[in-house]
Amino acid sequence: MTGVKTVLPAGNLTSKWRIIIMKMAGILFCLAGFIAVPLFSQDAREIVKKADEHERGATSVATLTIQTIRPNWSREMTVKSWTKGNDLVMIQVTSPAKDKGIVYLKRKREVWNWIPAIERSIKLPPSMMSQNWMGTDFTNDDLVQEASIVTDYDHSIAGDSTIDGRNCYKIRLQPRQGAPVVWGRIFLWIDKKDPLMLRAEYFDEENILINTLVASDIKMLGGRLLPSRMEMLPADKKTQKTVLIYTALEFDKPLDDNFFTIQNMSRLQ
Amino acid sequence: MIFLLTGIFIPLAVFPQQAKEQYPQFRLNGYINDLQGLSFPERWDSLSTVNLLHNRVNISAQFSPKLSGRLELRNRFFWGDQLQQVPDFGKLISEYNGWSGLSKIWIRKKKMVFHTVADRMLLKYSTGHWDITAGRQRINWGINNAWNPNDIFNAWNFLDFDYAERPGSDALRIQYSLPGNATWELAWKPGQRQAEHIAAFLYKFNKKKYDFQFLGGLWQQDLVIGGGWAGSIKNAGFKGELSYFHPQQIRDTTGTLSFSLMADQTFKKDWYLALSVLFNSNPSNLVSGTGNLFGNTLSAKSLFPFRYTFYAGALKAFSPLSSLNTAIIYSPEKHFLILFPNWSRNLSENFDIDFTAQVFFSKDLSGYKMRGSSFFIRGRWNF
Repeated sequence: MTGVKTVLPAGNLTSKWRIIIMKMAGILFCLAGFIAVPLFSQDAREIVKKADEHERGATSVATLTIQTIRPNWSREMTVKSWTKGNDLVMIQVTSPAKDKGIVYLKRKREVWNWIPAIERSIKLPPSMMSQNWMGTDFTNDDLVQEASIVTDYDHSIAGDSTIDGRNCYKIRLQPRQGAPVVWGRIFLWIDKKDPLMLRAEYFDEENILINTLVASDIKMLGGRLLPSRMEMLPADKKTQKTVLIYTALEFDKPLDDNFFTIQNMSRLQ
Repeated sequence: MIFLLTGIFIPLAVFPQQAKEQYPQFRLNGYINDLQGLSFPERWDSLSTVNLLHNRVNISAQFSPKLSGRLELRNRFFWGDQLQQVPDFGKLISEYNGWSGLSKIWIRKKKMVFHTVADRMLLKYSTGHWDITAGRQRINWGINNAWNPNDIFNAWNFLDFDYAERPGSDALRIQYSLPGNATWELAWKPGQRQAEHIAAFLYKFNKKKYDFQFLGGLWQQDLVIGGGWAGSIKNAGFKGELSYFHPQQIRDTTGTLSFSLMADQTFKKDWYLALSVLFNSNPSNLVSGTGNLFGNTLSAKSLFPFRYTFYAGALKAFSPLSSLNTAIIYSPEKHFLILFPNWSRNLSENFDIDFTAQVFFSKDLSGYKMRGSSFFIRGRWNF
């Protein structure tokens, strides 16, 4: 109550009115507090869901360049990806020559890897999800998003901040019991005006920061305003990072569920 | 035949830059390797060497939205005194157990052999749920990383590390995909003789986060039935395959069971471990010298010559550019042991080097000792 008292414009008010206002403010404050807990978590979830849907579309077809940057060397690869909702993802490596034609398929919680040199698909063990993807700072889970940031976590608003002049919500994601997640918790920064994820911090189960994702270069991609550049920065290796740049993106193109099959991995060119 | 095909494909492949929607479209890729090998058969003072310059050219063509083709050529130029130790080395490497040869030995001298083989040459017609493939192709039904009893068309030797693509089969294959990630498959590999035909079906489906498959058919002079799975237990992958071969004269009771199990898991700090066991109910127990790297006659029925063979593999990635992969193969029979480490390093985007060793030990009347060892250094440029 003392907090409320100090912000009231006290000068022109009688002491009686001051007391009434203080009481009303107190009631409102308490009410707000009671309402805010469920309302905020619902809002937080909606904000994440909206940003996730904005980024993903019903379907998406994208081409990306991925740069792995280390103090003494760097490598670049290009990939093409197809997604449908949260459950179906296909990623095909298009360069360099050595890895060209490698395909990853995700269906719900399962992931397969097509290796063109031996013309075989390999089902990945679940432990592979937390491993780095093809030498980058992204994990397999980042790429195929086995876990859903909407359904596999509980959400709450942890604060506000500004990124590149954009006002953002800072949202805390806590894994749900039994969800197949590789992180102990995640913080997401989402633009208040446009549904854009601008920053993410990934913590392990011991609450140690592992990776930070920074999104930038916001522009129109596939008819939507989106960040075209993402940088994944590992916390314990300050001199290295992985940069992901969208070069083309198309949303809501009809894609049949049967596109996302083991059989079709071998058909992709 | 090869001349004819390269004659048609290569000029087209050189000028492929047409608009994407136009057909035909062509793609060209491949690699050039140079492998230097040192071998010590049983004694360290009896060194022999071989150098292998190895080029692979893959040409693929899309003739229409539904019709595609592939031609893949494997050119190998061997020289060194090790060639003399293998009786008729040129003939051995040019033997291709198939309907047609599609290979040519250009040079066949005591210490020098130059050989070309088309190990893929196929046409594929894909429409809706159907894929029909005819020609030399790889019909890869295996699941396990080390031993594949289900790979009944074209079994491979995992000691042959310089042949990632593995041999193909001259066959006709019809695949039909069903909704929900399931497939029916029929394949026929005609033999040159009656006793060499292989014809089988495969049904693959996915249930409860497991891939399952069942197969059955004719396998040379046998009937074969088999199956396999790929799933997980907690964080580890769990896979298995088995095939049972029985002579077509059912009264004959000499069936052979080939069965492999595998578990694999990744760990922190970029470690990956895989364990596997192979059971062969009808072992030959023959131990040849140094793993026979350049040719083999193994099959899904006899993937390794012992009743039980164990495999342990550990891969440690030091960085995205450098990794050490060590495999140990052991059988209680004669305490047969192979140590198979490989260290690889990526030097630039398309250039890699690696070092590989294969050291063989076993026990006989003279005691337990090394039966041979080979060391290889290889450089590879991909294009």
